[in-house]
Amino acid sequence: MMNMKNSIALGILIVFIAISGCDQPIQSAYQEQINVAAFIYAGEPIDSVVLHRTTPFGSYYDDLDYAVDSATVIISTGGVSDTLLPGIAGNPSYKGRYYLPATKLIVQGGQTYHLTIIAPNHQSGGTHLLTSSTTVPMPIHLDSQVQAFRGQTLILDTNNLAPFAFLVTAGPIDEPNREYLLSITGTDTNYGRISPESGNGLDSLRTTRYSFVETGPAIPVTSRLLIWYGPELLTFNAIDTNWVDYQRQLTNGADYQPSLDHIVGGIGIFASGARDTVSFFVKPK
Amino acid sequence: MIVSAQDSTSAVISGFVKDSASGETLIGATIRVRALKLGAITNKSGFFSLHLPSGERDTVEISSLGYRTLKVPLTLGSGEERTLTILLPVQNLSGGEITVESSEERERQEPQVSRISLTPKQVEDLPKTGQADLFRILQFLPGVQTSSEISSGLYIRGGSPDQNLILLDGSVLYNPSHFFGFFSTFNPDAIKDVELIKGGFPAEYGGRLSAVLNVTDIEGDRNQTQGKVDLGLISSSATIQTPVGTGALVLAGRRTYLDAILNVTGLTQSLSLPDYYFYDLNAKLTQNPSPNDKIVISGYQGSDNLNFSGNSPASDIVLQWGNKAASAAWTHVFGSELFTNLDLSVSNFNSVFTIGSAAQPFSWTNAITDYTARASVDYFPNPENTIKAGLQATGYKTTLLIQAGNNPPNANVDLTPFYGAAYVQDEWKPAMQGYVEDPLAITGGLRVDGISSNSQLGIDPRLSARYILTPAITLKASWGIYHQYLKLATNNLVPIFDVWLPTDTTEQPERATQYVLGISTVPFENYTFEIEGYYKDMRNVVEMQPNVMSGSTLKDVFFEGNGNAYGVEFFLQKQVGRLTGWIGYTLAWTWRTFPDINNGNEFPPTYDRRNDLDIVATYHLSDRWTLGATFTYGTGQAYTQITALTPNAEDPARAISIEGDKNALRLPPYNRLDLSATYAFSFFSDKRNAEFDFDIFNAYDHRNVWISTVDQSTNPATINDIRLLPILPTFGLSVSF
Repeated sequence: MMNMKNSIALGILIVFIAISGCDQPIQSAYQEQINVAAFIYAGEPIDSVVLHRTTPFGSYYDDLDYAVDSATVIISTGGVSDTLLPGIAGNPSYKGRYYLPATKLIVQGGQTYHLTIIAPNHQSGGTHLLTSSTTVPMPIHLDSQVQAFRGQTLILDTNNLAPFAFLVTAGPIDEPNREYLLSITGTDTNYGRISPESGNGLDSLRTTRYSFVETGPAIPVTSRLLIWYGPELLTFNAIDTNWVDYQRQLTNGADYQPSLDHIVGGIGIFASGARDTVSFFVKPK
Repeated sequence: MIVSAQDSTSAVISGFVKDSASGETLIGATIRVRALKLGAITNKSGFFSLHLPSGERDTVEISSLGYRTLKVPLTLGSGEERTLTILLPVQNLSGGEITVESSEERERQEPQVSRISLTPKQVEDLPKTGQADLFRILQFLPGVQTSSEISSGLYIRGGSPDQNLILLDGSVLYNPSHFFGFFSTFNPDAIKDVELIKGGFPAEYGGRLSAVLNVTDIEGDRNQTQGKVDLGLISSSATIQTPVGTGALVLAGRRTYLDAILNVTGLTQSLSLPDYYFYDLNAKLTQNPSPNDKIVISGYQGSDNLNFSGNSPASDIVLQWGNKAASAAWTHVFGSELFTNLDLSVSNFNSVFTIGSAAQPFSWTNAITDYTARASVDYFPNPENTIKAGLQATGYKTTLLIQAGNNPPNANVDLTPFYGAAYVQDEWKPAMQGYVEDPLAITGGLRVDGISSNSQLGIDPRLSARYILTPAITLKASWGIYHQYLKLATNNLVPIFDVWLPTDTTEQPERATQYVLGISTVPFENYTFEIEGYYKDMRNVVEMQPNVMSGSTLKDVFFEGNGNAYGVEFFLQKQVGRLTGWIGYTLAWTWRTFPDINNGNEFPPTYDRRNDLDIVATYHLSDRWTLGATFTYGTGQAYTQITALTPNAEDPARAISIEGDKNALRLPPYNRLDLSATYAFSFFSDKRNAEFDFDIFNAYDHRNVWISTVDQSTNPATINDIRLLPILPTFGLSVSF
């Protein structure tokens, strides 16, 4: 049997070890980052590179307040560089946006484009330097069956959703590992909402819903992709790997670090696609 | 007199130790010849074999916790093999002294480190949350953590629940939980023995990295029919045992009835609550065609069912998940030295989730089924060696189908790999000159296993040793390598969509190396005190990638990384007397490192707890009253802080969160006190055959934080702490007949 003196010594040892185990949590301090939203499409001009500073958690969130309007944004391909202009075509004061007139550049399928951004760092007083690259998919076209929807009115019976399901296909396939993404955007929210709101309050502003990323150019459309009645824009995208990875990390960013957004020196996305669209109208039964 | 077994010509006694009233075999009973300092412990079938010198009159003592010790005088002839069936009578509470010695003796003799046994009585006497639950008691043991008070998952020494091998009568259970993880699937009334090995487990167990929980159900009363009914606030259970043929039959069932109560009171409709219930059924038939043969056929089925009718057919939800297991085992004893076991088992876990109308549902269906054949032998060739060897062959079928309506499936997995394993181990007790008994026991083993979907063969050496330093101090150590071939894709908060995927060629099997060092002492009379330190190195462990809805390989589903866990556990226990219970304290660190997570930097998993203190006490106030209390205090759960918001590139109207270092912050420390009082009385009987228990969960109403979430409906966004259960009184009635 252990004597009392030993027991007391043992008790003191336990208390000492317990106290030594009371360590402090690691603090995760806010660090300003530049968030890029840049999509370029085969056969189209570069109409919008959007830059934001991140909003510190606990601060009032307004994307315009944190839009970055004094950055230098450069696109280069084949050894030729172009500096983007602030704003959007026809509105140079649109804060945080940058574009290149169609007369300067039309994006070519199969070509690799490099993005360089130099932006002020409001937190440190220095600058952010961001770089990224994308290789653009070759152009695609929707099949004739979907093309036939163009301008048509489709009736949606919310009590019998099964008939509202069709398969959208496109082609040609430019490489075997190409992945595809479909979206439907309600372009006029005055016709009323189809599906109830989900998630946080900002969902009420949402106009676009995306399909899953698919490995072949055939994507099923169900009523799940519709948010609003009225005019709809269906967009079928052949997408590059940057876009695929951005989709993967979208809702749980912390689980992908280093992030899959392929922006060196910042966050967000510089992706390319080739797209074809069709517009139609959805009415309730 | 100092006598070694080798000094005389050896004889053997062997046989079974049983409860004298019911004939139930007793696991872990000690058989000891005090003068010779020789002993043995019964195995899972209640069998023992002990070599003794012949020609001398020996007194064999047989004891087991909760039973009176028997002393049997024996004189064995040279080379004699004598078979005994030993019937132990149940011990009254007051006569605890002999049993203490038995308990301590087993602790001293036991060569296995990190091993803890629990009895159903220990589970029943402690505070309940609606009903007694085995996992909730296991969570009070040092080294065993939980993710929250509403989870029955066991996180043992830095391992996740999927790294535990959970066996019910030899069948593997893949998701042993009910009620979204709140309760475990084990019905306490059907349990005979619970063995938890927290680390360093021997070669006879494999296929998992962390720990083994081996639950054995009762075989039933072979002499008379008896039953028990438990009436609780949210569930009731009934158990019946009856002699059948040459053995016994046990049937046990349990069902919740919250659904019925809510329906009758109209609350289901007025509050738009879902219909929910779970049930489980246990059946076990034991037959002894001869004294040397035993055949056991057992089955288990448990199921959780939730139905929710929404405002429209599109929002109807159906959720169903559960386990099924069946096994048939045949044990045969050849002479006194060879015990064999052959068993066949089938185990299945499946879950189905459907949302939407029947015309166009979104459904998630997954299942794992294993078909296993196992053969093992326990061979007792001489006093120094106990050899165990076995083979296992398992065919898995794992399926996952995610589909919206009649569209092509988002995921369609159907895999049928084959797992094979062979092991051999020897417990060696070398006789050492000049010692009063064999102070040293070394168990060495080797397990070789592999799965057909991956070419890598796991070669797992295991080694453990025990050294009795003084009559009051025993040293123990263990080292081993462990492989795991099944990887679990799950949601730790709501673990009902478990998808078990076999290792394929894109990832490596998980591999752990464990080191355990312990000291076991008797600091005061009736108390045992253990300190164990451990270090566990884990390779190729996985974290599920977020939002996986498709993919064809494991690389598409999991991140692969490494981890380690280390710590020290203190365990002061008192198993007999009016006051029983334990104080456990764990100081532990658990880390993970994944190239694709947290910029490749080390981070703690959510269940990492630096400090964990548990106090468990039962006090037998009188013959009628028993009081119970449990208290737990632990470092807060790790979580990841949101540091910033920024627009979603694809949908700028929506903000996405930028998170800081993974799991860098801690929720407030967790603490809770539960209390219970049990009153025993007679219910239409001359015996005290009934108990009424009153329990208070979270007695001082401390609302612990479950998770910390971001509320973006406000601007600026705010953090909302979602808190766990408030004070919750419950009661129950138990009647035996």
